[in-house]
Amino acid sequence: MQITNVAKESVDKSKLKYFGLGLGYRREIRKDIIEYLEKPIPQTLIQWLEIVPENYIYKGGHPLKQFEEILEMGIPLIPHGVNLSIGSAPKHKKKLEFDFHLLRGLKKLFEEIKAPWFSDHLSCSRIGQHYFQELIPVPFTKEAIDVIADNIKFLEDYFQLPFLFENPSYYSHIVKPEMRESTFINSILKKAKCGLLLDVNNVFVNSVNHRYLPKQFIDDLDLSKVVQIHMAGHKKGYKSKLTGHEIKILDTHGENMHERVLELFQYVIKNSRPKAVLLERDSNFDDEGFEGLVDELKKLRFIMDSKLEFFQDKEQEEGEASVESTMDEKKDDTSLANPALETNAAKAAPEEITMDTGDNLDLSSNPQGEMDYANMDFSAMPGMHNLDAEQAPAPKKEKSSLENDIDSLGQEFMDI
Amino acid sequence: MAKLHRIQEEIKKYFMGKKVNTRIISQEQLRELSIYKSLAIDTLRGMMRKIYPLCYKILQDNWNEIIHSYYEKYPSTSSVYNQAAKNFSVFLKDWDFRWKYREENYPKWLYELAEYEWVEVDLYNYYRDGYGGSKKDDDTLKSSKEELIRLTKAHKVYRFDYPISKIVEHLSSEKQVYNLSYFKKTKEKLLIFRDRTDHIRYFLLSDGSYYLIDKLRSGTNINELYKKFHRKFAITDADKQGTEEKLNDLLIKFTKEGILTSS
Repeated sequence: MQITNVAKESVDKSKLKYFGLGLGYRREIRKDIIEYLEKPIPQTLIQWLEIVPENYIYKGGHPLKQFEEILEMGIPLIPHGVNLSIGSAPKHKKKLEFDFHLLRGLKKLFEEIKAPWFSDHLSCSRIGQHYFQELIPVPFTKEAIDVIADNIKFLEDYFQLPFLFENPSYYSHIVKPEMRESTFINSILKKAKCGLLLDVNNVFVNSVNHRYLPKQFIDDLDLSKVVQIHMAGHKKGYKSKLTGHEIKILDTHGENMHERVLELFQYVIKNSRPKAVLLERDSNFDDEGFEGLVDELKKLRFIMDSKLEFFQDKEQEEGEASVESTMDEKKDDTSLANPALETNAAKAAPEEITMDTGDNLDLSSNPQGEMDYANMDFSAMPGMHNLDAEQAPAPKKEKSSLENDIDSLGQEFMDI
Repeated sequence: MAKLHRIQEEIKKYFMGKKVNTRIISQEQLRELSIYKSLAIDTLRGMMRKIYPLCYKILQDNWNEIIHSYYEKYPSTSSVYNQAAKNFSVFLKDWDFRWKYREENYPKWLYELAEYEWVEVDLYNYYRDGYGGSKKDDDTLKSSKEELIRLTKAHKVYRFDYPISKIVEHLSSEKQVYNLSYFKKTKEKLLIFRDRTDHIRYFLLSDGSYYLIDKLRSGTNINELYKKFHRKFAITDADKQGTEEKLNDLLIKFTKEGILTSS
């Protein structure tokens, strides 16, 4: 596919709708999500859902059917992919190599769910026809900036939607970086004229693994381009089973958000104006049940509400009738645990999940079998393990107590 | 060729277990890259265990090594994540695998078991409303005898060389797995399908029901179906009515399960 040289407007955040707080849709929690959304309460915790679009473009499948119930409730769906592989370099310059089977499926899905934008990771997950099932980091080089910007321009042109790339978590530099990560990201934003999906947990994970100050990194980014934010958990330590190579913390999306990541989130939203904030969880749903996720969402809501002057303005300004909020009620009460949310929690009793196993059939006296796959999830996505590394830049400002805390936390992980 | 492309080609080789040009990616860089390969294999290992629980029962002692080899030898070419597990039966049938684990004396039907386990996932990928099956709890065959009837897409027909249904039943039981060579070659035909409740089930097919399924897959009407069946199995006039009643019962069962549609 030849690149079409089309002059492109930079992503205009002011034209994008405000979505508020959302949750990653996964089949394991589908029932819980629907039950929660059916509650006759103002939806301040799940105002939209993020889907991994690659999971819904199967042969024979009709993607919209799966989400009909959710869309009928007025809950928007926003796609966040893993396999567009914007970091894949073509064999020949100016001849892009995409998986067009994937692109066609995605285009149909995006149209059906009326996606406001789409996003993917700043990484390489495919080379030629080979999918790695992992997000491989892209080197911080000038050549990579050109490759990625060309890929993004093509994708935006193909889908006719704004594109955001997510800053990855990364564990190594495959080749020597020519610049710092923040410079790399800003250069892509400028050249591709797209938006940024800022994963705050990834920033934290990288800051510990590569020993830099997360707030400094945030300060260095072009925050005006942040359209969406991801929040998630991580876990300590991972050792390669192949070589024994170790890293300090791993981005897993399987744990609760770390307190330090929440503090960083607070710092980020003070300085950026995201249109959507998301809690990502890909595994360990059983640990604390859906209630555990609701508790996590409450933490984010509480921090968002403490920035009322921005978020409330946005909701009023854009007349988000579908995005119900209790912000007005909470306007004067941001210092204590959110009473509105406590009320929601009390109502949100966990649902008992029952499974219809069906009856065995009897056919011509032959034995029959029955296999229960109803509750299995085969849409497991690769863990969002990306790369990044950066030399710690000298702090511009005097360290706040939070920065000192983060430094000491980094040390804590390094001591493990 | 662009530098980044050359680097990524070497990364691909590394992930496929092939020799890497260390002038392009150094040994140290490969060591760091191993984190990603290790993570990818870890994730695949977990997914494969979910998809192939019965194969896992047999292969568990060598599972880690087997999945590592599988990942290198059969890299995924699909953007859909679980499709990475698709070629496991081909891998198990492969001479390299059988030679490498010759001393383990793994049963010859192992690849057929993998095929059987994979088909469950393959069918699961068809969303209920996407394949044309009726969601209504329709327990009657309302079609006229001239109306076209056919099976929905949410089914697969397999002809196995071994008694896979018995093997599955045995391996699925709580009992300890006994001598796996007990199962001898016996041809078995299965109709595996997704039912109204989104469960994957199977019918064991006799020659007659296999023929019936074969005709229903391409679509036919009931009159035509009866005629073909009588001709194929040389049903006498005296037996025709009884046979038609039995066939009708089968069609009703298929309708009840939501795998038969009429136009």
